Amino acid sequence: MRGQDPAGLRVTAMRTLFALGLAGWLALIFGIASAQQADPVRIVPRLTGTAPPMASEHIPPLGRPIVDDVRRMRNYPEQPPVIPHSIDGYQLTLNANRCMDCHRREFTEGSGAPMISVTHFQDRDGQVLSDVTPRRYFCTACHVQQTDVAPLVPNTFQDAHDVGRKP
Amino acid sequence: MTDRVDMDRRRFLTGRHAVHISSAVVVAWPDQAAALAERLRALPGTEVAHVENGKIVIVMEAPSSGELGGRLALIADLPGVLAANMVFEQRLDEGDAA
Amino acid sequence: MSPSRRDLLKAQAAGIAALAANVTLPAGAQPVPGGVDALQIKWSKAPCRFCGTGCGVMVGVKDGRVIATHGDMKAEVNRGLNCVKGYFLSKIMYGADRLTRPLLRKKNGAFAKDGEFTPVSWDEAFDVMAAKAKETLKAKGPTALGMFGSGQWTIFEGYAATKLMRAGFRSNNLDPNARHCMASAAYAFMRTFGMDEPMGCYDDFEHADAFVLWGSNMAEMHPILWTRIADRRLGHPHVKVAVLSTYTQRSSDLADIPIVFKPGTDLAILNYIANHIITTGRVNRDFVDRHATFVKGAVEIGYGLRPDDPREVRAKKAADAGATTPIDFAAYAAFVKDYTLEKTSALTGVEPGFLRQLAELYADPRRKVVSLWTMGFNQHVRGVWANQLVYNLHLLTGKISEPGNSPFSLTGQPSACGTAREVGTFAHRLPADMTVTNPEHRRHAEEIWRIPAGVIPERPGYHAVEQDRALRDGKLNFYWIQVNNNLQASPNNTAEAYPGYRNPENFIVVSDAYPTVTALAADLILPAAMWVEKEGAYGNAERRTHVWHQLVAAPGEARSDLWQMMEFSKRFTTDEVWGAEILDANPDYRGKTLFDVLFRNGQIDRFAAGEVEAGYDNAEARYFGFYVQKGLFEEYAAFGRGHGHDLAPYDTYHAVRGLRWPVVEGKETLWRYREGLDPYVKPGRGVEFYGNKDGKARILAVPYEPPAESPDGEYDLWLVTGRVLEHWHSGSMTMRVPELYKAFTGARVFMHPDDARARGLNQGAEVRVVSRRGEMRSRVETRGRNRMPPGVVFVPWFDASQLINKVTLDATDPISKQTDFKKCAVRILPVSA
Repeated sequence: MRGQDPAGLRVTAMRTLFALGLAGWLALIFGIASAQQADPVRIVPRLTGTAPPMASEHIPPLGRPIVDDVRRMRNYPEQPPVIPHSIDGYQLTLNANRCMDCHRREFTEGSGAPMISVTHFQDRDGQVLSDVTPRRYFCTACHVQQTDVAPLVPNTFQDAHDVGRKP
Repeated sequence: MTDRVDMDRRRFLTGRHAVHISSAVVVAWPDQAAALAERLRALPGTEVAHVENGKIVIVMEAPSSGELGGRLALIADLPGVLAANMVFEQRLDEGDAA
Repeated sequence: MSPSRRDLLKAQAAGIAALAANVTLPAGAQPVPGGVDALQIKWSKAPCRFCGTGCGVMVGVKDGRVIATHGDMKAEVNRGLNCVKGYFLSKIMYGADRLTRPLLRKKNGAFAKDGEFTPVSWDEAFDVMAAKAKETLKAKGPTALGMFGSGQWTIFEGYAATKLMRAGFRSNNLDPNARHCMASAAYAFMRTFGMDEPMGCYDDFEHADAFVLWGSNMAEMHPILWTRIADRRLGHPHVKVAVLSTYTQRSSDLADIPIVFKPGTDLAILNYIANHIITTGRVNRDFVDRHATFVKGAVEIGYGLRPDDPREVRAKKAADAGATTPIDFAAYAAFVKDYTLEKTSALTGVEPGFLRQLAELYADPRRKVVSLWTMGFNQHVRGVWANQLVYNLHLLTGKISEPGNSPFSLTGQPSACGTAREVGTFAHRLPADMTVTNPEHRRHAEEIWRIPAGVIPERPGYHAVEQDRALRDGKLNFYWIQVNNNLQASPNNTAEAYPGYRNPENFIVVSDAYPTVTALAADLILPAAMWVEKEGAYGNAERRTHVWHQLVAAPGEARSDLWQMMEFSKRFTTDEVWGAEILDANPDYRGKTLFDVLFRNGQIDRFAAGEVEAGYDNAEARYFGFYVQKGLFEEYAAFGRGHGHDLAPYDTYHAVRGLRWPVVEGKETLWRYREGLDPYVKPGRGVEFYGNKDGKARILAVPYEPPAESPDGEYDLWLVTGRVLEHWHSGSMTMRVPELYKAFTGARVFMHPDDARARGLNQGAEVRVVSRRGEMRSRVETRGRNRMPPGVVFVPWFDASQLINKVTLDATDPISKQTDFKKCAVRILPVSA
């Protein structure tokens, strides 16, 4: 499909948009609401391709994992914290759980890592066990590493702290 | 408890100051819970949010994660305490707080 | 540092500790500046928006915005757990590029196929859309009008769609994207048991002694069900887990028996196990004699490609792919005798030791076995066969319909079962397992719908892949897509779907919350409300119907799919769509709008808007003046009550965390077809597969047949497509959550390091993935979570900037018409700098 007429789409590449700056981009998006009836809308970020819907474009390199060990604030208390270090090559199998080498209660003093939360000791029926419950054994179902890249699309989620508060 | 602030790895890496906030559930003999709660209240940076059926919900503040852990270990050793488990911990950076 | 920020966090910390300690924090005890009101969060239940597991979540709303979500402790499915996607549900509605106004391609102030997307009012959007639909109806009739829906529609939406299309426009060209997802499973259920959907439920997991995953990666695709399996396996050392796949993946990490087989050869493994059960004398003869019969299936049935494809021309039975002839046990035993251990090991590439261990899990009468599968079986040119061959194993050993013994078909969408299957949005189906080809079924539906006899057309419509082809060929000219990213999901979309959408003869409408590739290839985009912006109901993989309230308002002018369909139906009168013959016989219906006859029919409008639970808004009830969802649900429920699909009264579902149908006398049914567990089994029968008239299930004899395309000298690698944990389906929601995006930033080509080295490619190198159909660009991954065997590459399809379906083959199972996204041939070339 490359090189074909983009079927009337006016899609702007994300790279350009970043150059425009985030504020300008947001204005572009929310501009939809205030635009004049006759003005065509410009959409959309790289998420839907940089050009016509079917184009094959240059693919940016895979991002680098974040390894600064700085804990990221949670969006809300129930959110599982993200992993601020590398987990490359970690064994997480029937026989070994590398994560627990640092995050298990007994090991946190030596490792300085945060202990798995108490919810992780409760089984399906709410009984408290002496170690991590098997249902929570596979850490990566909920805890994910982060890559050093900018979000594709800004997210307008608001912290509970900022909702409904008058300045 | 001393006023000395431990230099932890994260602060060393980032050079930023932060406050760590955590909550914990302290399980005590029910008849000693009320007295124990008073003792906990007297600890630095420690608040008692609720006492019910021998369960004491506390909220702690400290400049480092290690200090929170140390304080909880101390609480676990207090007479009348059956268990002390940390439930939640969150770090607030100076920059985040605005 | 702001004290209020700190105090707020402390209050939250206390609240969570109180929750963990199971005590209630009195309001006064919360150290909150400005009083507790500042912290007030309203919590309501909802099912998760993503996969077919159907986890319960609690949704926190403050000031009209979702500010938090967490796993619902009271939900039986997940008991407080969510996977990483579920934990980030709070953010899926807040991508900055939400669509908030209808957008129409215009040039010089009027619609033009090559125009630019321009904001228009709903009135203008519907005016143009109705004019296009009427033009199409007039020129070519109802077969040129079609709709593509989804297993993400709420039950009401799917039900409204099936009414609007079949009873309104008199077109069966309605298919859900579930066609790409579990059509093979649905057909296999009907062919084996005469009734769709699993006999067991998730409670099987806590009773099983062995789990066998057939081509499924539950650790990533059904993470919460995986927690239940991990719980069982790690807590009970005698339990065994076997994971069969065409590459090593995260589920293999829990496997006692990890098996990597050559693509497509699972059919041989299944027949080998049957042979092993028979030759070692472990057939449960009593069960088989009483509850099963044997049939032989037609062979050489083709690959569902375009009829002029040489592979279709060569296929002897392509026209009658589903045919079967009765045989007896002896003939069946003789048929599977070919599948010896040696032959099977050679064909599949699996070590004989593992094959024997696997066969023993089924053969050992003391071991309770749960078999699990999703896309590995269903997206398979012999998907219906694969499903049925696994039922064979459970039927031969009698390991079925009781706790812990369960062949269990998993689903990928939140309401694949509830909406696509139960409501009947497939091109050939009606509600409650009925079909359009059966005159009695049509009559029954017309009676419940209160429409004249003969309105519902008899011929099945175009299925998903056929719709793409008909669009390209200009036979389908008006096409409405709701809640799914059809173009991104569509196989071989360079050649079929995309040219179909851009065909100047066609008018394409896409209703979505975000500007997906599908929306961008359309002519009209309608902004949709999503998830808790509307009242909804989903049905998960274990027959659980789960309802939620509208919790927040949709942004801007976005409206629910339900509102869109109902409002659009007002623009048509019966005279324009039903034809003179029907109206002459039923003059009372003359001049009425489709809205009147389909939705204001005295049934759907019988519940007042005021019946919506206090404290919750309901945009549709407010707009139409009656409790639309309840009316639709109750009319729909009339199809199943008393017929093995019983649903509870609608209001009940707002109070519970879902119920598994049939719900008889207030009680849900966990295991079907067994006396004492299922009220529909007649006393004294023990086990009764009552979906079939003879009460027996079918055991099917079919052979291994090769895939539609295999690697050769030119295209030398197998391509398998699929998903990753962090992104759901086409990524239109999860790619907009920064944490999920950063966790897995883009698609990549997982390949064996030796395959990469042989092509001079390093980790991370940019490559072209090329097939006979098309090509896309990506990056090489040799170290990630999927460890590929030599000769096989895996590419996930969630990334809109890397459309792997430009490369895939549009071959389908000829019986179910479900696409095989797991097997085609590609080559990988470096991108020269």
